[in-house]
Amino acid sequence: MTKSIDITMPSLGADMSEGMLVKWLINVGEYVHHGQAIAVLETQKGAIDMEVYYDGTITELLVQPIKTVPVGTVLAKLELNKELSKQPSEKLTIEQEQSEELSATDSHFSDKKTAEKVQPTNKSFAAKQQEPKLKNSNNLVSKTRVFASPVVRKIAKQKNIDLSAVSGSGANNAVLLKDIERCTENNTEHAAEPNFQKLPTQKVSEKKSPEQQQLTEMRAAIAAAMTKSKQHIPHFYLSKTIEVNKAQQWLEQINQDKSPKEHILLVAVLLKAVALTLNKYPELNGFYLNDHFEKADEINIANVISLRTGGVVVPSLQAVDTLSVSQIMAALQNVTARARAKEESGRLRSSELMNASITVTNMGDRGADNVFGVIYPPQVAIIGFGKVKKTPQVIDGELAIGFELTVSLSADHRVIDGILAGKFLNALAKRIQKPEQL
Amino acid sequence: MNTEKLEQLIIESIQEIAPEIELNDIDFDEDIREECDLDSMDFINYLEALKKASGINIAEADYAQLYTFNHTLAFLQAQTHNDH
Repeated sequence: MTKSIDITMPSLGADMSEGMLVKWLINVGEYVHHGQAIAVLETQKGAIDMEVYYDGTITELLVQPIKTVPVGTVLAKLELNKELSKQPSEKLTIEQEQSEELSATDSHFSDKKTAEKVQPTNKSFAAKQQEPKLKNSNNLVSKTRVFASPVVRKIAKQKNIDLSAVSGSGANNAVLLKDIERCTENNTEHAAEPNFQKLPTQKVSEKKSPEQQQLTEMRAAIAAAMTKSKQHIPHFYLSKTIEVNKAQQWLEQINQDKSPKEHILLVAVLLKAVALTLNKYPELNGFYLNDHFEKADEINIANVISLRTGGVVVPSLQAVDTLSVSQIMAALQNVTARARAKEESGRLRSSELMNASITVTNMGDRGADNVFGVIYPPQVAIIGFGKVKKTPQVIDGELAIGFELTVSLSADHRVIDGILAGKFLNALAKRIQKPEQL
Repeated sequence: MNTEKLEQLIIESIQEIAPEIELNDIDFDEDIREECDLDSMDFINYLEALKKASGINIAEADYAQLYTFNHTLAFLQAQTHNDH
């Protein structure tokens, strides 16, 4: 007998209560495989490719785009292909528990049964994701270039508007938002298409443009997650200043002959050092759910990416301890491009927003000296890297100019104690002193 | 290549990363990263775009000469001059 599986609106984080189905990428009767993107969702985190976690045939599409539904709503049914399917683990997964938690706390979430059916992730898929795609990187300068901001491009794409056919009123004939709006008004077919404005937050802010609307929603999502974090997680904070002379020298050496595209940034070194240190301190890598801590099976590090239009997206890199520094850099480049909605780079995938086991926030060159992050539940720690500073240092008894940065750890005291957190920071500092071993 | 054309190359490369930036938004003597709000990832992506657009090889050692618009202009001029 074949088994039917419900495919539900996934919870892409503790802050997500609903999502909008924008487009099906498959049809009824189509055979799909594990890890395949089957739909495009519009969420507070932007457009996301929703993946399926089974091999089988789609038998029903129960929700038609464009529609906003609560997390856990059954969107489609799939008939399992027994021979090919990997048996999903019977154990409750993080996503399941997350959505249960959501269903318990959100009053509008009446259908708890469906919420429990959110499918488990499968790790073999995460492994497949490690191949960084750098498609179209050779095509940065197009001959028939249309000037338009990412927001304009995104909206044009959603409304099926060919930007090259729109006469732009901005400088260099750049297509502005108002040009798109004019175009939409002139086209009743397009105008009839529902878009972001269907989301319930519209009630609060009816006259906002779609991109303002999305920003509002993103802010609401950040507010929900961070408030929940601060209300439930007893945070404590530690920091340590670390010399990064060796890491900087090492990078200078390996970047010497590289083109800008292959250039490796310090953040890739730091992420690898964090991942390897977490191998020794698994108490920081996991989830606090149902009053107990569960270690994660993989080190999936979410990296905070700020968007030019405001807000942040926090997609994860999978199994970072198994990647080389250059693979981490390529994966970061790739995920950053997708998070920043450069349409030629593709979209973020649902797995990238679901399986982070810890978060890192990095100030980069132009940020502050120190950053103490707010833990993203149900994770139990967030690591913050301040900017690299030139400082006087005593090296081999001589006063010299060196580089340092301050790393911070915000930790959940329900799981982690100060001494453990301190040991972790010291071990991390040691790792960073041996960049060649990363 | 004349200065105007080089300026155009630079601004188009910046716009690959920061589409909202116009030439007259930028103080040519200030750090491009500050002027155009580029983080380190944006900056290397911008340099890659500039390399592609100009056909001029940009190495790690050159980065320090590319932090302001005017310095970048001078760098590109010197490089194109060397080629001829």
